[in-house]
Amino acid sequence: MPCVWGVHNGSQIFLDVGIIDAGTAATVTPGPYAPVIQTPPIFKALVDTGAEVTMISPEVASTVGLTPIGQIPIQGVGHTMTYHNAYLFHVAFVVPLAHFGQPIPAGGGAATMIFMQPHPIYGGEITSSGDHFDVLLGMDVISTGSLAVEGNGTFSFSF
Amino acid sequence: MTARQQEIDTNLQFFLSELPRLLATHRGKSALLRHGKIEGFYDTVADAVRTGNRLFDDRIFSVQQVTDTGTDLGFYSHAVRLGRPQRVADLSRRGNH
Repeated sequence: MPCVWGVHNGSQIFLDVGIIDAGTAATVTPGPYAPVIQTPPIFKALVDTGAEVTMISPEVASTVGLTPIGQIPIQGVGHTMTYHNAYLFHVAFVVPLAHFGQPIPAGGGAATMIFMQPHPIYGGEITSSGDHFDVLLGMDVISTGSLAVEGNGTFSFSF
Repeated sequence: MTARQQEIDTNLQFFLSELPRLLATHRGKSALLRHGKIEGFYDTVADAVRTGNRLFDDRIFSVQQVTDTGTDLGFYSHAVRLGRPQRVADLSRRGNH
């Protein structure tokens, strides 16, 4: 079972994800997750168990070349609802080819494998959060695997 | 604004004006729209997009889910400005004139 892991800061979990246009994604091998050969653009994601769906920044949409396919209603404060451009894309995880807990060399250099979710995600666009993150990773993706947040400051997500 | 974006905005106005009626008959489905008209309903967004790509060579169409429930983004919905939103009320008003 592939697994990504890292450290959390006590209040937030960030991890790297790849975003792949569902329209151009190669045929996916049947299975829970499929390895991909070509490395997709990688973005920093905030893991958010409070978000129902995964959202992306306009920068992600433009970097990947995603075309909006409609608009998705987002619940705002109180009873307000707003519509945001929506996209169909796959989320991929960068899995280090190392044993769980083994330190990964700073600045990259570790051998990795990319695993892509087979089912496309229908996610919306949110404004950029500055330099904090580009993808809000919601429960539509998190619920496809097992997320463990540990008291020692680490987390893991296996799928 | 691209032709696709213009189509999405136009179709959304029409879709919102029809939504109360559609909820009674197609709740949970995905509507394929083109030029302010519904072309069909599908079980998933991906099915609707696939059909749109097959039917329309110019790729000018949009897909809307038949729902009156907004997606909850938790903390993000309440504490952070959501980018480039359009209020439903504003869109509905524009669609009715």
